[in-house]
Order: sequence, then C-alpha cells, then structure tokens
Amino acid sequence: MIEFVEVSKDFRNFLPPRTTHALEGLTVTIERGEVFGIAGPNGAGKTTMLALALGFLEPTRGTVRIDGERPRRHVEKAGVAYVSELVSIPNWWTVTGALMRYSVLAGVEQRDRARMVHEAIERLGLEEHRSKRIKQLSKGNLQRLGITQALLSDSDLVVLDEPTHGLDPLWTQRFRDIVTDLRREDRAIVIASHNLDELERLADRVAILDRGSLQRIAGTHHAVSGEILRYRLVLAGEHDSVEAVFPGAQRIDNARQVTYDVSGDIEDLNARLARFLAEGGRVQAFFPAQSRLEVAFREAVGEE
Amino acid sequence: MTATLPRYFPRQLRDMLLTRGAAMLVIAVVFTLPILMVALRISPNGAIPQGGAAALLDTSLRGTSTFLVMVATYGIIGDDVRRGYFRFLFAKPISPVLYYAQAFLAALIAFLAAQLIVVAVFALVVEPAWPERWVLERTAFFLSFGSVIFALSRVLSIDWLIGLLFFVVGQGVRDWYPVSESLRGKVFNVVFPPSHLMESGLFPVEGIEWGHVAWVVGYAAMCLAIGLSLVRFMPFGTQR
Repeated sequence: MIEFVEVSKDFRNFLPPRTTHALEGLTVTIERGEVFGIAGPNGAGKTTMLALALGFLEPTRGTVRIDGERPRRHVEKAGVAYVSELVSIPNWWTVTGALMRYSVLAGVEQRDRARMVHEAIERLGLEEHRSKRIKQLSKGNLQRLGITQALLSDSDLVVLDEPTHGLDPLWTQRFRDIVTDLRREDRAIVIASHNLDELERLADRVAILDRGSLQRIAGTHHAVSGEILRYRLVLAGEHDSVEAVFPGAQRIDNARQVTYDVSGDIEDLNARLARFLAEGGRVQAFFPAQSRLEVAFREAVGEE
Repeated sequence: MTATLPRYFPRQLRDMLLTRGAAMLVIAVVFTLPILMVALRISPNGAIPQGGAAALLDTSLRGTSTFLVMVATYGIIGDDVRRGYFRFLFAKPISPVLYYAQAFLAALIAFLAAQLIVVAVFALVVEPAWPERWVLERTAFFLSFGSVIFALSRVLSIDWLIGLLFFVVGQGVRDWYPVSESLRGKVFNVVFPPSHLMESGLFPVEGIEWGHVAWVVGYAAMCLAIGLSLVRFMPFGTQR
C-alpha cells in the first residue's frame, strides 16, 4: 500500500549553512492488512518517514507512493487516520466542538455526526471532559483526544506517531485493544514508537531506523522450532533438579525469587519443562528474558 | 462519507469572529469615535452640514479599513503551520488550497461585518447614513490589501507588517516614479497594490471605470494565486 523507494530527505539550513540528512536511501513497502512498526532512537527519522507518507514533506530523492499515487493526492482524496506525537488543536475549541469539526472535515454525514462523536468520546473515556476547552485538558487527555479524532474516519490507512505518549498504563493497554480492533484485511496501520514492548505486542514487522538509515526489518512473529532463545524461569521454591533438566541454566543471584536463565528452542524447552514438572518442580513463571525486538534493536543500533 | 469542505465554512467564519472579532470591534469603535467627535466639534452648531454625513462616514470607513484588514488576515495560513494545527486538518480528505480560499472569504465577511459596526456607530452618534456603494468600495480595498498579506502569510510570521510596508511603500513609489515617465514606473505600477485607483473611489456613481475594477480584481487574484500556490507546493513540514 505504501511504497518508499530509495527515499532520502535532507533538511537545509542557510544560516549557518548546514545540511541534515534525516533519511537516507530508505526502501520499504507496507502492505494492507499488516501493522507495521517503526522504531529508532531520537532523531532516527521516524517522524520524517511519517511526514513523507502523509505528504507533509516531499522527498529530496526517491519516491513515496500510496496505492500508486503521490501521498498528498491520496490523502486529499481518501484521508488518513493520523495521530501525531504532540497533539496541536486550537485551545479555544471544546472537546466536542473539535471532534464535530474534524468529523465534518473527515466527511462524516450530518445525520451520523453526533452519534459518531458520542461513540468516539465514550470509547476513549472523555465523557467528563466533553465540554472542556482544549487548554483545560491534561496531556494524557489531550493525547486521547488526538486518538479520538483519528477514529472518526474509516480510513484504510492509519498512521500513529508515538500514540501512547503521555498515556497512563491503563489507557496504554486500552489503546492496544483499540489497535487490535482496527486491524482489517484492507487496512494498513503504521506505528512509530520508542516503546519496543508496545511494537512487539502490536506490530507484525518493525523497521529499525538509526540516523536516517533503515538498519533492518524485524519480524515479531512467535518463536519457531530451531530458534534458540533465552527465557527466564521463576520457581515457586528451590528444587534440586533444575540444572540437570536445563543444562547451562544460570541462576540469577540477586532476584527476589528463585530465578534461572535458560536457553533453547521452544520445542526443547517445553519438553524439559514437562520433565521438570513431572519431577516435582513448581514453576511460577516462564517468559522471554529479552524481547526479540529488543535484541534486534540493540544489534541494529550498535549498542551492547 | 463524502468530503464536504463547504460545510466547514460556517465553522471557519465562527472561528474568525471568535478569535479576531473582539479586536475588530475595538478598532471599529475606538477609531471611529474620535473622527466623529472632532467632526462634530468643528461643525457649525455641532451638527453635520446637510449631505456631509455620508462623506464623513466614508472617511471613517476608510480610516478603519487598513487596521481591520490586517487583523482579519494576519497569520491566516502561517498560524496553522507554525502551531501545528495543519497536521490533523490536512490528514483529512480535504484540499488545503480550498480550505485557505474559504478562510480568505471568511476574513472578508468578518471585515465587512466590522465595517458595518462603523456604520452602526455612526448612526448612533451622528445620524444614519449609507455612502453610495460602500460595500463594493471596501470589498475592493480588502481584496487589494488583504490578498498581499495572504500571499505573504505562508512564508512570513510578520505578514501583516511586511504587507503594510509593501502597501505604504507602493503609494510612495508611484509618486516618485510616475508610470508615464519610465519603465521602472510602469513595473512598480504593476507590482505594488493598486491603492491609487481607490483614492477617489473605484465605483463612483457617475460611471464605473471597469478597467480599474479589472486591475484591482486581477491584482488580488494574482496575490491569492501566489498564496495558494505556496500552500499547494510548499511542504508543511513537521513543525510542532
């Protein structure tokens, strides 16, 4: 659906003369039906990539196309459900007033407008703030309003730039549910985030950018046979057979509970877990010691 | 669902009146009253001579026009870009070019409403009067000056100041370089706003000079086209 081909974006400053290479030779295709993540440190080019996809910027070199069209043309024709990192809405508007305005611009028919705005307000828990002015909203509520206005349209392209910025843990979780609900065969969802855990939970693939270059595209699929991964095993009490059942298991000394790091492929580890339980061991938790995306990210941006 | 930008126009007009209406009201009242007080004081017996009311009102309307145009049009495009409002607006299925063309129309209506307040103040303080074709005259003035600020708004944060300088300098330049005497005069005559055509009125009752009207309209159209082209082709960027 969205195609970046050899895209570079330079920002030129005249006084003093300086050129910043925000993106360099980016080639990637984002398909309908997928949730595509963009990760990277500050200044990696995530927001620039999204601005190019929305047609707010033009590439210095290369091409960006949405369904074969220039992004601006596509957006003016079909619209995009877009949430920006920092939500900027005129501060004299009220919450309901802002949503009514955006719904008009999104092309919502007058007969449906009040209902859709009401439902969106309820969905994002803004009922008690509906008549407040924008300047009276907290950062988290403003972010929720930003998400709400994006949900007013039934766009086949959803672009979310740091969408959980400023949200509390409860609303971060609810936001994940919303993204899950938004998944559709004919829709592409693009999420740029610093939060690798969030991307790992939501995205099918994640592009890792660093200093304007695409380092790699990491899959976030489930562990497969033959793939050696490190897991953390937390026991409900001491047990003698741990090291015999899980060769190479390393005890985490300063953990509050009896905890080991174990490695292996998922089939092998399941078999060993079954044996351990059969021998009377009691497992409290078993989970990846490191997210796979986190490992890929560290490798890509060159951190130890 | 259909994109319905024209349906958004009442909200643009409302925003224009909410954010700039108070300043326009103050200008309309504060600038008009002193003119009227002085005129009444110097008039024999404190009364405006027969037939003088319309001329005095016309002076008041002209006196407030420059400031009202500036208030109605400053930052008309640039504010949305600098403050980041463009991001939610133009992620919607609408044309930014049409959006700002509508915004300019809203500014014109707000300007004429403020001029109507001047007419109302005059009616309360002096007597009801209605100068001939004042709506057309003031609309022409708005187009010739407001369109300059509009053209500058996408690229300059002090669009109103540079627009005013351009307008004032244009008036002086026409005196220094008469159009009939040099090529430079002819060029300046085309480049600067056609304010000289409006000094004695663009729509006199005794006969309209349609060539002058076409010049004013053409000049405004050119400035609007420049402003809208900048909207169309200049990237909005990633400003916050």
